[in-house]
Amino acid sequence: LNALEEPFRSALVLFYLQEHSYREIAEILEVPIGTIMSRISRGKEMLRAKLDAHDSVAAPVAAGRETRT
Amino acid sequence: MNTQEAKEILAAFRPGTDDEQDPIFAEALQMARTNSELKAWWNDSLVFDKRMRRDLRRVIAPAPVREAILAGQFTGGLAKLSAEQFARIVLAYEPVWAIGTGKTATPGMAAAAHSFLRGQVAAHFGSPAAEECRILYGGSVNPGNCAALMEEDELDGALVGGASLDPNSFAAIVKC
Repeated sequence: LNALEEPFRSALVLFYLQEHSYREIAEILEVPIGTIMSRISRGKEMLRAKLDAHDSVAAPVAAGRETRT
Repeated sequence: MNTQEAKEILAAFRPGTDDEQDPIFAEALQMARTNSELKAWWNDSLVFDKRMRRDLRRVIAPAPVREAILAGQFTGGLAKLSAEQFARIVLAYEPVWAIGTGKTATPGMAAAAHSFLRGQVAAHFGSPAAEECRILYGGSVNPGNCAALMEEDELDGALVGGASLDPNSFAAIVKC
């Protein structure tokens, strides 16, 4: 989450960690509901891309270790 | 509504919450039941959300993040009170992950949060108010952990939830 850029990070921290609804997030960040929905949606896509990239780097390393032992 | 718009709306949906009665999701949810592409995306999205919530619960937030959350809650809930009103307040710190879960903050974690909150009281209402303010710890307090928690000077008492429903358990906590 820290690797995400604002304003997507704040939206997802409030969504996942604080478990707020989109309406509550819109009130907290003082932005329209449609904007928050867009930020949650785009933020998730970015997060997923980062996790996929991380997994694809981590997997061969883990596999390599397994082979050596 | 096209598929992309439905995805954007569904991304904000939280199953098992008030969102299920929120009309803003109704059309997108209906589409997710009938549109096979959207249905597949939606199932995948639910799995991703579940994984994220599970994994993030395992991460202990860094101190600056915890302090930012506490400062925001303090300012939002209490900073507008007058000094006279605040003098009648008893503060309770209760980590959200410790409410009814059986998980308790360690005495050190609780003391650090209380110390930070006392600093917030000092900043908003002055040092005398901070010294006099009682800050209770809540979140799965029970007879087994109460004594260790209460050894911390920063903890002025306990906010007892589920353990108060059993008279013997509550009595044991009172005696701590």
